[in-house]
Amino acid sequence: MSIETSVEEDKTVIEISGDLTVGYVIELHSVLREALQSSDSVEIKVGDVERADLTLLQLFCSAHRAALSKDKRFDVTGKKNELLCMDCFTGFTRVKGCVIDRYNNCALVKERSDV
Amino acid sequence: MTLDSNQQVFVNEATELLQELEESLLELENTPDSAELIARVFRAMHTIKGSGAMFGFDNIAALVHSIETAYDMVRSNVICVTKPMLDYSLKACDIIREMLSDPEMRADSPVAVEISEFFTRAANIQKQQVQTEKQPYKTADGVLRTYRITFRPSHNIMMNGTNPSLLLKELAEMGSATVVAHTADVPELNEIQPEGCYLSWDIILTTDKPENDIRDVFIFVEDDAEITIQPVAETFDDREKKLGEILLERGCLTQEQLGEVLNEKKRLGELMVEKGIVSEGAVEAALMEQVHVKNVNEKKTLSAEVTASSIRVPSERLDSLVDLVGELVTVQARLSQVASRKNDQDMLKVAEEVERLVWELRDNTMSIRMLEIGSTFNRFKRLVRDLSAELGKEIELVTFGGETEIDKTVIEKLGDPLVHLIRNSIDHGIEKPEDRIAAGKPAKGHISLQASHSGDSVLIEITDDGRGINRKAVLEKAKAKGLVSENAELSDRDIYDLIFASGFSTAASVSSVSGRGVGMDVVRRNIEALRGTIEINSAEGTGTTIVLKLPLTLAIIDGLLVTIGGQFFILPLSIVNECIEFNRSENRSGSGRRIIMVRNELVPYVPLRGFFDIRGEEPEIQQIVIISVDGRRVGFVVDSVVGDHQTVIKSLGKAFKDIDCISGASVLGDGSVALIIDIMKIYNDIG
Repeated sequence: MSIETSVEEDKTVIEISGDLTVGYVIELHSVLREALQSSDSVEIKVGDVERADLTLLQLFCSAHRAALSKDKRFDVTGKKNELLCMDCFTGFTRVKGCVIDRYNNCALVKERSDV
Repeated sequence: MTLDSNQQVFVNEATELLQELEESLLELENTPDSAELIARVFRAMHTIKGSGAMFGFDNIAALVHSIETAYDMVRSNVICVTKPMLDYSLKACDIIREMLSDPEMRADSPVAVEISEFFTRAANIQKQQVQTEKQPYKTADGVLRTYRITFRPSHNIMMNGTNPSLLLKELAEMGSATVVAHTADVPELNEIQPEGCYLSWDIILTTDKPENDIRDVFIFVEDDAEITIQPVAETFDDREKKLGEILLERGCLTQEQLGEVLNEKKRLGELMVEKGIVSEGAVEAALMEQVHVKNVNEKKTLSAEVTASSIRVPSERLDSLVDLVGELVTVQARLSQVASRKNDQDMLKVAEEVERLVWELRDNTMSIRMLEIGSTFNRFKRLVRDLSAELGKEIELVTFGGETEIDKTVIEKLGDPLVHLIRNSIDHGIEKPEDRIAAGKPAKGHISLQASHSGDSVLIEITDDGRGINRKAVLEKAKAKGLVSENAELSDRDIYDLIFASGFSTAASVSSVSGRGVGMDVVRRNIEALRGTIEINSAEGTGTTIVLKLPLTLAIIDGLLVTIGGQFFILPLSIVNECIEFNRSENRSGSGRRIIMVRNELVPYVPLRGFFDIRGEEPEIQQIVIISVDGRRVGFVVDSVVGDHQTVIKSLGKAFKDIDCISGASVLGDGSVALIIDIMKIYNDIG
């Protein structure tokens, strides 16, 4: 797994790629905790993913909940749709976030194409 | 390839499963119609395949796939179990074992390909037959059914290496599936354990597969997840709809209106009391009974779950625990000694209490290491099956006392000697069917393996109803090899003892099974290394019985502490008969022969001071410790007998590995070291 963090104004951007499986999720968890403590907005930019598993989506969901409870933003961008289309994520077919998703930026909802 | 911890767990579990699978296959040979056995074989195959794929053992998954398909057809009464099928299944067990020990072994080795081709062929032939005969596949009756499946894995499922996605994928492949993941239980970042699982799934699956096939998908996570499978048709469409549901469906009323009306409705108990049919107390009692029965049922379920629960602990941790208990026993002995020396009443009380607790701890720890010998016995069923077929003999192995428990270290070291003994019984003991019939015996020979407890030992008897040992042939061979003199007259026991001589074999030719004469001396050496004994009884034409006597445990033994020249030594108490005084003048009898008369019985003795070349003046009055081995009594002269001693056995280390006749050492309460005398070695050396 590759994790690169950068701070742009009041936003922390975390770029992730490679092997995004259970073995590396603890590291990402601690990076996310730090980021949400220090920034009002955190963005995860998904790069080229080799492998991923459920722990990653779970962590996204958890980070999103944590951000909303602190009235902060948490967005997943980049190759998010490709990630959510992976075979291992059967069942993550939601088109709308949960009840607390007031910014409509649920990490588990695919980004709409304007085409 | 280095295995990670999850893969190692899979290897351990698969090894156990293979053992069970092999036992089931061997049983299936006798009762090929047993639905329970067929189901057991299928489940084992399915679990090995599924778990194998999940943990990266794709070679195993690929090999087992075709076998599993064939057994699924057996399960569905489409095909019958045949002998070649069992032969190939057993071969597959061997290959899977090899793959477990060498994960990089490919599934396209010649044997693996042969196995896969056999099962694929078997399944295809049967499929064609099914089509020709237009027999419906047992469960695929062409009717699509829809199931509502809920899957809520345990929190630890991913930490255990299981990937729920693979199960969902397998379900989706069974038909048309709509999978919905639930994330409501996912906690916030500060509370989440990232590797834990907080997800659950609802799956609506429409398939022509039966419910059992769906359950089989979850077969290796069923203890690690909440799973419900409900046929949707039965829960909704098949029952009569309630009035409210029909009105709701027709749009005559809303859900809210229905709810309001239902809330106004009184409960059955209230109506009964209002009408004066039953008293309030009676309703209350009936409700209490309802709650009670519910609670009892829940407790029963819970208790069943608790009874069945067990944990897997690496054997190294148990060994380490035993080592620590051993240290504790030594320290406790020291504490007792110090308390006794100081004669402090309070300290003595504490020392006694500690002693009691340490013994309980020791017994508990030892009991954890005890394993049933049955699992070792079952291994030999395969050996007997394969070897008897190879040699053209009909042999049945029967086992008794499989529940007898023995220390795991003893069990581990017992395997090889037992293999030698059983191979000998098959090769030399049991005759060919035609010879048995000619001798008035049934064509099928029998070998029995029996285990039982005898005091602090376990007896293992291997009995065959074969031709027995030809004493004359043994004696002649021994004479020819110069093991005994030409005019020697030996008792039956002495003749049987010759079999244990190195290089001794009466087999006319060397076979792949036996006849090289390298077995029995090794067997005896291995058994004696376990502080055990081996005895042979045989009757020509009737059969042979070999009795192994083994200690229950090797870690801590009851010993007899003695001194020689100021040094401490320990003899295993289990073989000590008695201790008698010995006057130094008796040691210098005129004849020079070291024999003493004990209650009108001549007993040979060995002065251990001389044997170990210990310097110094021997006391005027010494002690003879008399032991009994194979019914013979021998004395060992020591300076004094201190008493019994709980001996924690320590190995002597590499530097002392060549020291004969000392099998280990033990630390005494005062910190001094006592050497453990290998009585059996001395006994055998002195003939």
